[in-house]
Amino acid sequence: MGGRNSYVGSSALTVMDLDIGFGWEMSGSTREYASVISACAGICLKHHAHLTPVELKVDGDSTQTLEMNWREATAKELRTYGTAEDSEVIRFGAECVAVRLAARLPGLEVIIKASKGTGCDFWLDDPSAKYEGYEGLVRLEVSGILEDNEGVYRRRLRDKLAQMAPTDPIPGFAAIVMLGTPRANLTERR
Amino acid sequence: MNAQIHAQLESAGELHARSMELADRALVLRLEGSGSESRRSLEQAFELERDAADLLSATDVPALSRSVYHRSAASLAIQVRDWDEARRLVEQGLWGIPPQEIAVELEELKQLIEVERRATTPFAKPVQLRSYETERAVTYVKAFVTEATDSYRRATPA
Repeated sequence: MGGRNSYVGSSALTVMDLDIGFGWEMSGSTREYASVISACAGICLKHHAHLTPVELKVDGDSTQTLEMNWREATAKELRTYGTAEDSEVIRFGAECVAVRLAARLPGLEVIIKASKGTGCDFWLDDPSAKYEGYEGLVRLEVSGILEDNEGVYRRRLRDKLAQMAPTDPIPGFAAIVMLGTPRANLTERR
Repeated sequence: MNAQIHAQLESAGELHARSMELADRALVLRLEGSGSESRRSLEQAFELERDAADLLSATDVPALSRSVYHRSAASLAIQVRDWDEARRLVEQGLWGIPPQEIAVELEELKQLIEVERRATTPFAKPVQLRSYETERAVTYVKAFVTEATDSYRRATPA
């Protein structure tokens, strides 16, 4: 099972910068999806008049400041996906930052995306491990916030962590991504 | 894990991967405004995901895998508005003691199915009453209004 449990106790990110622009792929999803969420992240960051690269403050299990490279959405993408006020654009933008961050956790990568209620969730694993269903995989729950709001940021994190049933835990991470002054909290649920 | 379950999980995983590709395509088509093409792609995604979930309905499939596949298929069933299948998939996902957090999400889907189903079900046709039924209904309404009026008068000082 490769490094399925290697993240335990070592969830520090091994990264100095983060690229959420063009040219990356997610093994658990299509290039089209990666392109949509990358464009949506760009729409949100442009909304706040950021330039690329922009500083991304990461807290949670690991505290550091990264340089995040992003791309502006093309004119066609802007017409297609809408504005940063659209909740779907915010969700996709946050997913983009979260899955790129999670991909830099030691031994983990998004390998499956599953449909759930109002959106989807992501499941991480060692990409070289043999697939044996969801047992042993690590769940990634994402929540996005467009404007800076410390209270909402803290509350979302608390809610995401509380979704974890204490008696029946599925190993996983909660990611809260704020796209105003870019900030992300990636916390392992214990 | 025995070989048969392992093979079922692998087959379900392949169906799921194809389903998610179609769901991604449906998302892009929807955002681009191609509603009917998006709908077709989503229906195909749902059918594949349902097949994956149904492959894992046996009792000896690990509970987490079975419940997540059923949750995913139910979620797509809601998106294509197939309420009966959505309900069936939720019930199957809840069967066999899934992990608590997935069970909670399946229960949320169950509520969402009811809300969405009611919101999209057209109003029932007006009922045609026969003449004696109309007379009886008018009598009941008159009696109710008279009783309510009397009751109000008794309770209100002159």
